[in-house]
Amino acid sequence: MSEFLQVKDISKVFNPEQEFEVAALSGINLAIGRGEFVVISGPSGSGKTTLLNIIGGLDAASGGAVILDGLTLTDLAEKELCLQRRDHIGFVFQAYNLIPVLTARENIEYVMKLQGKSQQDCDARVVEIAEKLGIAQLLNKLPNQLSGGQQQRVAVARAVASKPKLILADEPTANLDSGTAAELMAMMEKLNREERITVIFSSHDPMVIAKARRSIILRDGRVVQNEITP
Amino acid sequence: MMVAAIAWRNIRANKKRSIVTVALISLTTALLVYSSAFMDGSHNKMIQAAVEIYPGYLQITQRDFRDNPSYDNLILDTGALHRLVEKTAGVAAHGARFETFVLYAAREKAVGAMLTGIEPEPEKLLSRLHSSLVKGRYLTKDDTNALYMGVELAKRLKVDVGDTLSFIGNGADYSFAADRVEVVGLFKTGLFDFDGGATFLNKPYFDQMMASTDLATHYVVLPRQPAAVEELAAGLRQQLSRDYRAESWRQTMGGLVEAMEVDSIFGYITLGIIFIVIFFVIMIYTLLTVFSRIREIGILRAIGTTPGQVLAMLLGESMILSLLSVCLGGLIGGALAYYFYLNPMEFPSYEEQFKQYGLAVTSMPCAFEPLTILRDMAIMFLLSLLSGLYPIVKVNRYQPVEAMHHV
Amino acid sequence: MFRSTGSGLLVARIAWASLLRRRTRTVLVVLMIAMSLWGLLFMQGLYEGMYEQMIDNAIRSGSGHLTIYAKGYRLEPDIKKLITNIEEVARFLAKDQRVASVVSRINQEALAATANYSRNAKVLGVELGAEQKHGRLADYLRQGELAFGPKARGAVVGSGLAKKLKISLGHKLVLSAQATDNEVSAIALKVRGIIKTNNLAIDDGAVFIDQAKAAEFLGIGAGVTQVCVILHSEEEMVPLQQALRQKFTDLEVFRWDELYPALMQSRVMMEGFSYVTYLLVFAVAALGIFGVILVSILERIREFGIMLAIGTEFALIRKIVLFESFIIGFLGYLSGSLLGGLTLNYFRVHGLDLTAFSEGLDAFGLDAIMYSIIKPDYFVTAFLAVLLATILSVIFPLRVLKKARPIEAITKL
Repeated sequence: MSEFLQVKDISKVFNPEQEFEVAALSGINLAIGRGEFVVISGPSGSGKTTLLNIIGGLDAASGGAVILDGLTLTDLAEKELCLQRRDHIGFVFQAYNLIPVLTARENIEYVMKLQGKSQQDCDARVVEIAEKLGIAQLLNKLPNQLSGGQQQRVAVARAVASKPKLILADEPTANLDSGTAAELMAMMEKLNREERITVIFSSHDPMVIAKARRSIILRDGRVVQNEITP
Repeated sequence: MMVAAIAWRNIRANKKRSIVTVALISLTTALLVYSSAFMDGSHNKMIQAAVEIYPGYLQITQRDFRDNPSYDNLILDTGALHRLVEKTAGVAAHGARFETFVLYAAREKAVGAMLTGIEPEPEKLLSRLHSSLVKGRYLTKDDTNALYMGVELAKRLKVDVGDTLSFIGNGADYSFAADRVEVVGLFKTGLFDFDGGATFLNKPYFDQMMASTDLATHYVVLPRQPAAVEELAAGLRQQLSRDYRAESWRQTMGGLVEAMEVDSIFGYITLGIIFIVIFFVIMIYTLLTVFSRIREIGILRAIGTTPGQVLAMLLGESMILSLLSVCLGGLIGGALAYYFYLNPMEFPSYEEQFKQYGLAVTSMPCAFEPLTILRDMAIMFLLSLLSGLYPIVKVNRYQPVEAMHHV
Repeated sequence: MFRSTGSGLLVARIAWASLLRRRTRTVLVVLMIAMSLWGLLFMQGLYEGMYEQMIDNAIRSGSGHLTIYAKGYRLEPDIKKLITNIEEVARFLAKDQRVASVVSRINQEALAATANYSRNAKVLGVELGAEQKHGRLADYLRQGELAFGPKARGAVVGSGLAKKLKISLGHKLVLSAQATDNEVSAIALKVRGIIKTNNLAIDDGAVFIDQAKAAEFLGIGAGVTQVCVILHSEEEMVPLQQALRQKFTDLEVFRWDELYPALMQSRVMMEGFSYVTYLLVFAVAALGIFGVILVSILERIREFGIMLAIGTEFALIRKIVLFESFIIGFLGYLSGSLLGGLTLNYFRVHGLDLTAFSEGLDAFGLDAIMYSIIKPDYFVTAFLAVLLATILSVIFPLRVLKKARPIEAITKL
């Protein structure tokens, strides 16, 4: 079976050919199947964020290839990448990163609007997803009127609203208290199951890591562990 | 659509930037609109005054007269010219003039001055001679040796209404001409040189003295529509024999027209300097706001907004702000221009200075030309769009990750 | 001593580093100041040069710095009102160190006529040698020579008058004017030179003839109508005027600005106009600097908070911010002054050629090639303007910084 996501020999060097050359990632090889729920963990500076960014096409790799569902992302130009991100990848960031001037509802439907979906489709999907995530009451609020946990739920809703193939979440619970974090993880797991979306997230919170069904550990830019958890 | 909503809401969210930008651009637009209205208006007024006081909107002269204003280059058949102009459409008034220079002597003073034979009736419309009367009376078509004189010249010659004086000069046939005339009226146009050096006689009488019957140096035509003077001149040119030329004030007063252009150029240079600094300030403020939102722009890009869409959003913001400011500024500037169009500004203390440049005006109205106002608004709109362009393009060059982590 | 230099260096380094980190805006603000300064200096130097040229033309060809008339002549010019004690006046002026040159003239209204045409003119009976030294008349010569020829039968004519009369070199010209006996006297002259001074009064009417010839023609036994004095320095104008007035109570002494009030008014108006433009430009520029300083402070609240937390005094932080804005202002000033100075110097030497508009410039009495001037005080004014704009634009951001309590900022988020 050809894998859903293949990461082949990815490396990333910051400040190349300069005095302070830093190798953030070297020789990363991963193969992840459709519908997996994967955690990438490791100490600070081990390259978790960089790897997620490269998989999502936000950052260019210094070498290697990322193949998503048969398409080599690392070969694409920025414009193409942008459309790939729009249609197939959802992002959840540590700092929520909602668009401050848009309401929760508008944030959630933003990507669908970019895709040109009709208002009816958007409305239906927003209601569906908001109910799943328990944010139906918050839809007309602006991000700065929401708590951290609420903002992150809206961010998750935004990431999954357009039914992407893959969700990348960089430390989604780092700014949340443990109760809220657990709730959020439960929600992501539910989405992963119900919507058949592949989820890759990074974390260094053992409680969060424990939720994942595959655990990848990075250290100094290399994969030191990659195993299916029981 | 979504992008437009974000653009609009960002304008409202970044209130400080929006206010500063709108205030700056609208004030600058108002300044530009008002300044050009004032420059155009005052220049038009000066030219109009200079044209209407005496030279007139349209002059017909013998072909070589303007280059060589001698008795060898006279209009030889004013009667035929009269009939031709009379049947031309768009003419409000017309009349012949014969200009010559004579030496006046009164009591112990002798002063050279221009003596012109005019047709008193049409001349009432052709120039401001009649309306500039300050003492005595204007000329009539039956007058004989009645002289109409500028006040400043009367002062120099120490004569007044009722006094007689003599002149010597040359007739059209180069014969010696001399006569005694009586001052019947004094005029003051405000044009110092003119008031200090021009005198007028009824042409039929003048012609007897100067042997100039049916001759003229100038034939002056007033168009029904002053704005249509070029068309009228062109029409007359076609009908006139090749011995004559018909020229509008744009040609006959070329120096003055150019002087006004020079004045405008200096005005626009000064405005240009103000524009430079405003251009930079708008650029700086755009840069500051765009970069304060660079994280947000990174996120937009990360979740699939294309660079083109981001560009459209930022440009859209810039466009909305510029449009708003330009309309506001146009309104303010236009209102000011309209006010001063109705209520001209007075400059009594600069009368001396204006006189020196041969400008007989002390009040200067603004022009009120909607087209010019729109032109100025368009210029400012482009300028303000242009000034925001560099930061917008620059921020769009960042990769999403760089943008999100930009400090 | 050590401490202060040490912290001074530190302030400079931090300020410089933070300017470099925000390179684009630093460059934009510096450019903004430089470009506005450039434009302002250019405008000031060119406009002032223009007026200086007009005034210089009027002084050299017309009034001199000071003009002396017989009592009552100015209000009612009359060749019977003569300065008869001319020798005494000349001796007095010759002794005075402040005086650069003196000429005497006989002026009279006249009619200038050719075979075809006649015009109002002004006879100026002059001593060519003295006039040449006095107003460097040769600079104004457009055609022919500056000479009256054998038997002083020649004349030098103003360009405007020559144009109106359609005369050129070698043509005959007849002048008729009233002589002292009230009879009209006439004289025939040959045009030997044509001058254009851009002093409209001269160009449009002057016919320069030999002074002795003029005296003979007008029946003047002794004396002149006007004495013009050029000084080494304009500052000496008022004291010398007063000295002359005291010494010669039967004469009237005028400064050029009294004789040409319009010129003076133009100069004053132009200066006022320049200052308003300056004010406007720098008010806007201050707004630009203000925005940049404010934002860079707001962005660094945490940074400043950390510095305060580890024991930095607020005064030091204030110094850093002040230093940053001064560096920006100074760089802008330096490049703007350099650019403006070089541009002005170029136009001072080569002039700005506006011959395309010569007819229009003539109407204002302006030269077709304009030479700018450079005065050291341009750069002083510019420096003060930049300094003021910088200081004004930094006051408010510093208050914002103090109110923001940077220490608290680090504990948040």
